[in-house]
Amino acid sequence: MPLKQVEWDTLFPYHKRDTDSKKRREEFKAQVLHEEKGFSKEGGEGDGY
Amino acid sequence: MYPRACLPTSARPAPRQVRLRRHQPSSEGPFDRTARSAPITKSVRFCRPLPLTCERQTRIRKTQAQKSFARPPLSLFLHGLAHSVHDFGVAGGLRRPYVSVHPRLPDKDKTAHSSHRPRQIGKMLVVLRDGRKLFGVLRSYDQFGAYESIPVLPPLKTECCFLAVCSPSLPSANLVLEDTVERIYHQDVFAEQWVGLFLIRGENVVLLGEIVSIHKLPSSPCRDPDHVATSFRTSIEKTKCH
Repeated sequence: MPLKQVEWDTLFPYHKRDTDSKKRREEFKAQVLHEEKGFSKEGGEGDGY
Repeated sequence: MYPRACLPTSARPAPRQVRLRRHQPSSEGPFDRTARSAPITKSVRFCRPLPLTCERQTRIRKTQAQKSFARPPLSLFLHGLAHSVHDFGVAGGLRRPYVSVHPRLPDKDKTAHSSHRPRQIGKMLVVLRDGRKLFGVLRSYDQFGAYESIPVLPPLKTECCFLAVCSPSLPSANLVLEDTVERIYHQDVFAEQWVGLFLIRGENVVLLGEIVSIHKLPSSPCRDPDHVATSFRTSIEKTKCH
């Protein structure tokens, strides 16, 4: 299905809302995994070294 | 605090004493540690640069030439040609000299030099770790590329295919994208913003792929959803085996 292109300023608030909600969800998930399952947060910048 | 001239002479601080070490030739030979480490004391008020002799100028030019070879993208930034940069040199800078990528040639030149030139790489899609999706022309990369080839990732909803995925456990190449466009998606619409030249640190790359229009590939197997699913599953299994 071809996507429809719109103006950046029009779409950016929706995109920002999506990314913010995703970020909150990921942080909550990481917190639960850390506190209840003992996982540490990995994969940050510089972890490859 | 009072200025220095307002203080009485007795209260003025003495000039700063700087201990310098100078190599002095000794009769015991060049390996005499006592003579080499003997300190001399000297008052220093100002540090002025040494005059540029011809030999020193030549040495500086050579050093600059070596640096410009190792970091060609940086020269673009110095000349004001770059527009933006993502995460440049956070830990240790760029790792190795970059490999330049030939620009895409016209069709007539392709046939004439196809056996002598490397494969032409056109517009690329790069997905970063923070979720940003960049479309640009790959101009150079360094030698630490470790990418797994995957034919297609359908959830991207783009018209392109033939992607390469960066393995999370291996180092990946730094990239330079020219004429880059950032694209954002929401449901079935998208928007683009031109961001110019992008220098991407390799560890931030999640996915990299050349953009090939499906419509220009009439016999492409990627039009068949079953084939796409099978090849995707195979490549994932292959990655797990490694």
